Amino acid sequence: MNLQTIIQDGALGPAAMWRVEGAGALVCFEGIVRPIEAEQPIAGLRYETYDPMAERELQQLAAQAIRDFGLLDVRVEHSRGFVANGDCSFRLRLAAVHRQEALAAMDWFIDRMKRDVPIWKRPVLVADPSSATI
Amino acid sequence: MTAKVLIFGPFADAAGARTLEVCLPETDRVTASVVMAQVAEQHPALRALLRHAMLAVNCSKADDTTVVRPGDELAIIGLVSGG
Repeated sequence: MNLQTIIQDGALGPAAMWRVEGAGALVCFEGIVRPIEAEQPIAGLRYETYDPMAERELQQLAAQAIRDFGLLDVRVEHSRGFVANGDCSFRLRLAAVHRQEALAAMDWFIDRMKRDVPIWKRPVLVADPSSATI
Repeated sequence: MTAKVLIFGPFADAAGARTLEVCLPETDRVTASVVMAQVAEQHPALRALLRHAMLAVNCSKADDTTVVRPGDELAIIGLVSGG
């Protein structure tokens, strides 16, 4: 079973080359910080993570995705801290023999992550850069 | 005993802190539901948020009957918003 989860400071860089033996489908989703939240321009988002639990939950989700959808490989990357608008804060890459299971697993994984993984985000408003601090 | 409880996101905003101190009853069996009830009792500013939250014990989601022991890492996990 191949899975990898990474939580790192700041925006994610470009995706590295990725090949999986036996895969007929490599699907990559990248979450990009939008410039507008709730009709207000934002400089970016500040992500707060409960690292040990977030890592554990992401690994459990990845393992379940491999088991339930028959995936060959799952790689998850998520940012913590500030990510400017236009930059990537989340990347999910799935490999499968056929596209159907990879595409179905993609939606499933993201829905579950947004429900279960202890990561929070706050907008940093252009008009008030201190808006994401406590 | 007194327990430290980690808080994040909207909970940290509401409390103005990232940890809570919570006094727990001196009984043989303290459960997650007891901890959550004591948090609500001792930190009224968090009561509304607690309706949609759960306790994590040592990084695992707890149910109401999960027993909490001295030294366990406790965290309140409210609505999350990653991605």
